[in-house]
Amino acid sequence: MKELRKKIKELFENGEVDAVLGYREDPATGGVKAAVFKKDETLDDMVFDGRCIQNLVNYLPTLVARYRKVGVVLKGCDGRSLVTQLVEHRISKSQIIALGIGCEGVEIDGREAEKCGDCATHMSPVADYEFGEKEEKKEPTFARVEEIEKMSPVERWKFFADYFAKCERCYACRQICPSCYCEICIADQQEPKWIEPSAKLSANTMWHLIRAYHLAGRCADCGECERVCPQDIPLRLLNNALEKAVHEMFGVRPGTVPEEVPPLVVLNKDDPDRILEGKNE
Amino acid sequence: MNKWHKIKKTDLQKYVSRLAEKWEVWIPRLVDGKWEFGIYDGARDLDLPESIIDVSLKNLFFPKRRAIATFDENSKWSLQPVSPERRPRIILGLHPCDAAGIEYMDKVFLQSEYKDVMYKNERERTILVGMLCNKMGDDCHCTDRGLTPDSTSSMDVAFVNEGEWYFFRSLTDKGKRIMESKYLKETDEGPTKNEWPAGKYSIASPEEFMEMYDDSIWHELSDICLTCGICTYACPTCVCFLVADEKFKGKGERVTVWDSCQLQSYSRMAGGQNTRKTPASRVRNRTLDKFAYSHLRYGRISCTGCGRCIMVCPLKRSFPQLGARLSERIREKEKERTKVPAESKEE
Amino acid sequence: MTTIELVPKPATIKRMIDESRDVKSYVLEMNESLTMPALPGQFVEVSVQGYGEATFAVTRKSKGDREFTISVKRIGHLTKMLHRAATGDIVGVRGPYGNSFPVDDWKGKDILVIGGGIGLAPLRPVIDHILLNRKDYGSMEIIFGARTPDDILYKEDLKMWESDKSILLHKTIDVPFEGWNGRVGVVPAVIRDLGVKPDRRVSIVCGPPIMIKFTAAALRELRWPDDRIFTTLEMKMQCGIGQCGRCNIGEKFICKDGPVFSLDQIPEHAL
Repeated sequence: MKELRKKIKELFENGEVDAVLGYREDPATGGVKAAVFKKDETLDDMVFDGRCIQNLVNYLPTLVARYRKVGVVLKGCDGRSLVTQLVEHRISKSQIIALGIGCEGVEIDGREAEKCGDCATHMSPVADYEFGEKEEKKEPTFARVEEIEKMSPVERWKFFADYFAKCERCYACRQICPSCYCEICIADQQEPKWIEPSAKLSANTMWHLIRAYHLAGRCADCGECERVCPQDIPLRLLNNALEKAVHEMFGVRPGTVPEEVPPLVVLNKDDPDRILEGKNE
Repeated sequence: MNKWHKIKKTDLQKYVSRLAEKWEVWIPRLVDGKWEFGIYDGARDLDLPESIIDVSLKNLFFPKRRAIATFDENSKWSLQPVSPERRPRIILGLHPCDAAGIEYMDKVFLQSEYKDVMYKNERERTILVGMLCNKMGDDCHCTDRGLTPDSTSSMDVAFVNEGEWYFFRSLTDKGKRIMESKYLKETDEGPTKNEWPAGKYSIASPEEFMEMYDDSIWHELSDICLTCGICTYACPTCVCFLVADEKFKGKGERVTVWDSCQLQSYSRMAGGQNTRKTPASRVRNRTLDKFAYSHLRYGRISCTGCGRCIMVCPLKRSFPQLGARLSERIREKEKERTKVPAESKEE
Repeated sequence: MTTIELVPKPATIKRMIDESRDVKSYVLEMNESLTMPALPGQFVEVSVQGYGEATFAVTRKSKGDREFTISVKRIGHLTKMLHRAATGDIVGVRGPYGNSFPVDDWKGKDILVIGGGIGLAPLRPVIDHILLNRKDYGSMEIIFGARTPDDILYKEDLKMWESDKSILLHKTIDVPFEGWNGRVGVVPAVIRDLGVKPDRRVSIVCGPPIMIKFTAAALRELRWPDDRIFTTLEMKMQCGIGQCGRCNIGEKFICKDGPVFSLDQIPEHAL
């Protein structure tokens, strides 16, 4: 933390950044909150610890519009998120100073977040400066998805339907997602109206499935959608299932390799095509 | 003033069971760790939370999704208004802030040129039996909003939890209808009155808020807000809605659905223009609506101090804290202004 | 049986008029013995079953209160469905809602009507009203701007107004166009060109938001006081009855407190 603060101070003094996005101690709640630090502002209340679960990448597009150069504190998973934004040209790397922090896991309500158990990326894949320990990369397990895959289709539908029925369509999942940035979201489109606006099972199911498909090969599994869901719908499961499919078919895990183009937006002659090969069960 | 009646705590369940023979009785129950209202079926022991119920009563009067008419998709025109539910019901165990929320909805839906007859029907078929709070929850701040945990406004019957007894008192003619019971005994005693401390989120006046429209603080106040809609859905006085036609297998319904001013789609017009495109403009709209516009329209600010917006916020942002921060800024500005000589007041 | 205000009543499309390349007018007759007594400036909510509803200004009232006209620019999903409708089809109507132009207060005054494109629609009932009660009002000047000659609507009316000696009509298009020999220039520029003076006049302005904004600026430059510039605002209204929440300007609801406002009644950011 000391090193991080020192580096940020230096970056400000050298004019290399105009603002730094990080976490600030929030005395009102005893937690931390996302904060933009500017030159000559104190860094004393800047923190990085297990409470810093929020993925800050979602704030970057607004900030790079306001500042010439923005520093950002990144956990490993957030770094993957940043990569997805860079390869989709939503943000230009030239405006970002990536401050990677070796992450030992973050917490939700004092307990280690589920995503951290499966974590294979403890250090941001893109980092101009690295702080703290850098653990070895692991292969992802997708254990949670495999659990679901063992269910019969009827059981599986029941499992998800019970959750989807509770959705209030507050769109917190969409709003916090760095990769959900359509100018007009499909849920808001009137012509054609793909998804009915009311919070009922059929429309809610449409919403969550469409969102998951739109994120296939793009979602870097920051897990924020699941964390912010006020109804605790296990949204990460949907994304993980598609992440697993993409990994099996293309050997790609979104966001882990800088500059790797999302597999579903390019055509390679080696791409598997189960449908054309008649292997689709 | 009607007399107090007392009932032994151990008799409450019996009393409610008797009521449930004649009425649809709604009581708070714990579902997946959250308190919400559900129909009493006698299956579980009655348990009344002493303070805030997680899910507001809004849905019982103005449902999330409400069919107002039905139609046959294959016809060009067959829109028929739905017929209203008439069964009388009792909602028991709501708190003063819940009643205040209903009072505000009454202003929107009933004290207007066009009455919402469906809402009116829900109100008319309901007897509100409110339980005064014994304590304030972590996020409660009704005392900052002109209420106290023992306000009885808009209730038909109010009751107080004290020692081994509940003290009941009817406040309206409607309320009297449930006071006839062998379990309720008229008494000359009454519950003790509590003193409530002033709260932590005091705010400026509506007029002062109105002055803040063009202030740059809205960017600060909206900086980390996701602009999702959950605070508005949880809020007992956020009643914005959209009208849509929904179809399924040949049958169609025209519905009103809760909408949220925090969502970008809310103010987008056909053709794509959007009057509230930025998060700052949406946060401003909601804040001013709660603390100023509502007062100018209906004579009362629409925040009841229930604190549900804090409880549901994915980022644990505190809306009342935001109001307090804004008020602080108002006072700062006021100080600056008083320093400036009168002739240079022009802005 | 009490009625649910949000549930519309049926009306039949009696006649359709192609106004311009993307605007059609519909003469609607209320079914059964229903009426639609709209005042100049009031609006209705029109539904196509299965597709929802949208707000339209009543742009003409026929004799009696049963028949009225709306003009529909094809812009969203509902207007597209309306454009596909045929004579004899039934649509749903609610209203009339909102306040109206204070035409009675304007008696004895000169009137300046400024319309941009489809913005002429809510103003036409005022022109109709003045023509019907001609001796109650002073002079009438109309400035009407369209993007191209193809966007000019109400051609029959324009012809009539042009030949009416009691009306001074200026037609303009935004940019030069082959075969157009008339005036060229956006409405605010035309206002400056003509140097329209406030004198004993009131002006009513409607058009796209950007046009209203700059027209207001042009009129203010010519020393028009705000309380004599009237406009009708069409933000995203939905319920029409001041309940759904979205059309507010501060504490005011456009649908209930408006849609007609004089500029002194609304804050600057509403323009």
